[in-house]
Amino acid sequence: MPLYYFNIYNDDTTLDEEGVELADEHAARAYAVKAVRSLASETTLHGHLVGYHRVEYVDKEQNPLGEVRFDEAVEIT
Amino acid sequence: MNDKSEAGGALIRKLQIFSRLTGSEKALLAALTSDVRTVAARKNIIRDGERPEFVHLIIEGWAARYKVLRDGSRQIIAILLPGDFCDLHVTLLGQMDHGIQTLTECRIAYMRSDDVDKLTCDHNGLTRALWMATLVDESVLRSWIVNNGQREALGRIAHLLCELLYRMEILGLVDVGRFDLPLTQEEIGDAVGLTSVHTNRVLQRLRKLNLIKTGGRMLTVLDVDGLRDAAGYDPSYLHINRREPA
Repeated sequence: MPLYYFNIYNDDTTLDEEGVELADEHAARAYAVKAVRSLASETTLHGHLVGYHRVEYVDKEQNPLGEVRFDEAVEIT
Repeated sequence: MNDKSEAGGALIRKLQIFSRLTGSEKALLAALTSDVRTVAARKNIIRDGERPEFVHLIIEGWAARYKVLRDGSRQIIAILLPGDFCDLHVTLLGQMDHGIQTLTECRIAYMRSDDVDKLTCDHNGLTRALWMATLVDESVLRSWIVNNGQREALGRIAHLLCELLYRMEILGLVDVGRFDLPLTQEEIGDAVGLTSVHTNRVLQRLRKLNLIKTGGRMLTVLDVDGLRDAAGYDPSYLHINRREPA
């Protein structure tokens, strides 16, 4: 399975040097959404959520494949 | 040192934390651990539901106790280090209720569960020591439940790293705060209920706080008190100072 890397851009930049083996780009996006929800849940516990914070996912050659913003990973009604 | 005496030595060192062993008890343990095999990294030693004929003891390397959920996600419920039993309880319970996988290449002693059962019937002192080892495993499991249920992400990972530091120190495998940490972000995440991405973020925070330094597969704890403080860590649950009265 190919490796995908997930870089975090929130209050700091955290680059992923290990990556995760996933079936395809679709699975990589789903993984990014799950990761964003996990990160967002932590800030929510502290009473804030910054919508423009994001996780970018890239392939092994560091080509950007997409990104998930914190405010698109959760539905607020 | 040959495999046989080395394997027996790892077990004797571990059990002597809990109980004074006689010369004949040590000889029995050495004989029991004479079948040592090498298992490659990331292989199942035993799977959930199996009825094993052996009790496995880690002599060298790292392994993990885990359960897999229906959706495929994995919860690591213990990290097993040299001297740790994988599955002592199967001598009595018969069937595995979780799996055990190597994290690195391991050298493992395969002890026939019938022999372990017989040993516990015949030798009270050894039975007591094995019981203590099981009780400490349970104590560690309790601390993991509290860790994963109550602490936030930073505290959870700090707690896990503190535990590994203390346990590696007992084994003499820490050099000025530095030890081999052969876990991926994903495996650390599986142990504390976080995604690998979230785990990476927390490790970065711990680095920026100057509590740890990572490089390759090594971890250096730069500030033990700071890391303990971040985790609210109290090592008493490891019962490392518990010794039989003379």
